[in-house]
Amino acid sequence: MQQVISYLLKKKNFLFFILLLVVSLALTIQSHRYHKSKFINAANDVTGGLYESVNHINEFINLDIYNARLLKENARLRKEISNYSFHSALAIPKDTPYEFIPAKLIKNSFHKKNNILVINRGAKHGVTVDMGVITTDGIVGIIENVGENFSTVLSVLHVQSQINVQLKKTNHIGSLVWNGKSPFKVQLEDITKVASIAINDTIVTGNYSIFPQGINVGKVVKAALNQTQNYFDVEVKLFNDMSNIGYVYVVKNKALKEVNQLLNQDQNE
Amino acid sequence: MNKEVVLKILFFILLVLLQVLVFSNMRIGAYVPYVYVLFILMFPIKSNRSIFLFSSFLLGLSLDFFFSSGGVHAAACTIIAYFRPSVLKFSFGRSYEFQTIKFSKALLSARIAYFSILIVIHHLVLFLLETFNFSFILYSLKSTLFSSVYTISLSLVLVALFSKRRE
Repeated sequence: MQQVISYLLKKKNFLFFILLLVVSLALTIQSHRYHKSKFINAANDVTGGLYESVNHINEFINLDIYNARLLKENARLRKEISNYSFHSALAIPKDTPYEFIPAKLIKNSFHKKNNILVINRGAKHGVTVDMGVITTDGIVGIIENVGENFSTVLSVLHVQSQINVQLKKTNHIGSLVWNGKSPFKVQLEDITKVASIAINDTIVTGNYSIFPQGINVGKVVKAALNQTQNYFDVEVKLFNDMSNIGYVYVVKNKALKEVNQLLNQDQNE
Repeated sequence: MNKEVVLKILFFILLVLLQVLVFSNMRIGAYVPYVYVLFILMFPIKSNRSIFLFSSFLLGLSLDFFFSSGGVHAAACTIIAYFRPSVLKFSFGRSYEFQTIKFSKALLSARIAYFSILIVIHHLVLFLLETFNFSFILYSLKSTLFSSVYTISLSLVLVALFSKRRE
């Protein structure tokens, strides 16, 4: 017994090393398996606060770009409203299931394979896990972890990201993934060969997804049948400039809970 | 708490802040220097091994918080902290055995060898764990190569700038 103890004492550094290594590997594997690092994430006040205070400088530099973007969006919305009031016979539905929470991106990242972003809105402002994040131009990602005042976003530029989208023209659905190469181009999978797809076709968000239907995502730059000759390999250029995002909207789908309940009921029966 | 411990803690916080606020934004292409490993490289040689291991682990973990990256940095830091004595022995030879190394007085070649070996190991572990996928192995190796060169040169310049002048 004494020998065992003295042996352990002699090897205590090695054992301590193994312990720390196992802990860090467990955290790594956990973050890869569920791609939700439950404990180690930047949605807390210390990291979020630091990112936010530094972001002020960045915001100041990009102020004119953000202003121009906002102006463009306002112009577009004004045009839409005037269209509606012109055709006043068309009833505008007063109650939509979507709510938009404005937020600011305080930490961007696009050069890694697993890009995680941070926004300055959290549980206090009504953000919950799995909400969509969009900008004026397109989609950004999906809320991954929520803290009190900050949240992390799983970017579309994450190799495990998968988003339900469709062709604007023909409504054929597919899923949007990223191969980790260019931060401006993502890939579209599962578009069957019966879909007539052409260069410059617009891709929008799909019918049943976290995002409202019909949000612009990007346009097709390359499409070819893959080896099995049943599906297209499609390359999509994002409308969003993922390297300069700035302000975003978090999309809250009030109907999603009900839809999920119905789906679960179906499964249980 | 004596002066040395306080200094170490301040150095720790300074490097984490610098890494998150400055070095992470000094991107060249897709490559970022991870200069925070200087904490592990420059840690006093005559110190308690367990405390050294643990503080390296904590350093990695605090960066994982900022980068939301699970335990990737923690693992890489723990590994180089554990293998540091062997690398020290390899690059500084006898003067390490007599415990008389002063980083500022050591030969430049020895210092470069010491920095390079540990930084390359750190980056290799970091990028392999970050992708965690064999289909990205080429990407991991390429990132290791370019990021290591960047980190090594930046660290050497910083150490040369801030170490005390030779008499």
